[in-house]
Amino acid sequence: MMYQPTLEDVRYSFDLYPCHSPVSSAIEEIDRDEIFDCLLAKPRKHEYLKMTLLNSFVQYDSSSFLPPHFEMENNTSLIKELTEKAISEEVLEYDVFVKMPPIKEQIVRAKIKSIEKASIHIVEPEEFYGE
Amino acid sequence: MASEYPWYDVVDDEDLMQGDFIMECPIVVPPSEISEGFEARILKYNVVIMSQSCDLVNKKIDLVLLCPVWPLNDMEKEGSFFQSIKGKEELRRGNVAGYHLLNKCEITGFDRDYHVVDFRNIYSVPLDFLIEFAKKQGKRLRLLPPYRERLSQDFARFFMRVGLPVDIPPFSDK
Repeated sequence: MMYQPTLEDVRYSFDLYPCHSPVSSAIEEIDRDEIFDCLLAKPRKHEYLKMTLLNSFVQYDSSSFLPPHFEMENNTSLIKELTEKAISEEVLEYDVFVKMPPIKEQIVRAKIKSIEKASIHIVEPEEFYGE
Repeated sequence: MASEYPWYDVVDDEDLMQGDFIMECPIVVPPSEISEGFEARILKYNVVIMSQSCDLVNKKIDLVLLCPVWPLNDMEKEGSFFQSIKGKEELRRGNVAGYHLLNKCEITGFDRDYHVVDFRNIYSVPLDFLIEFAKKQGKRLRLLPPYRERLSQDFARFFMRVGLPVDIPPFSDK
């Protein structure tokens, strides 16, 4: 059965087996706790980002019976790319259309009373300065 | 705080105002060809008055703009978007173009659940007709400020939106 690492396992292994620090300072600046908080965050809109981050940064050999050894990959550009993608995909306005029928409908026969061209109705601006 | 800013009131005065709800307002749909003794459809909608109150009171307009109002529950049955909590929340936040959510009403005799104003379908009826029609209905529900002004603002926002074919590219960390 494939080993399924839990968050505790990942955190534990980081503490016991210091990994090679990534060359990029960008990754070092990212607080590991922030990454894990993101992974545990409830909002579903970050689900894609969460799973991609987890799969991208953590690789483990599940075939071994020894405690898994986790290594950080140098993926500075990936963080940036995924964050930008998550931000750009956030929907700001929804274009939804729901066609609703009228409450009641009836057919009537009408007799033409008159047909005339509409007359213009001008509303002049009120005078702000009294004369 | 909620009692200081009630959403609704019940009125029966002759002066129509923006935010007044008219029940089963008839909208006449003429045929494409009008001849002697023609048939016309009459569609009835529960509507809210969108025309500005000053225009109504001073009779500066001949036709009153109306938007249909639907129970949110009914809209859920017709469209799946509003069935979800996310859809309802986006509606509440004003992020669903063309629709405006109204709060429940707990006034006795006018109790109702959440309702949605539909900006995409607008009707107009003669002002004189609507005054007489509202008078026959007796008491009616009225949306109070500032919720009335918020409705008017959303209505304007819906019509003034502009879609850009090529927008400014998003900012990013460099």
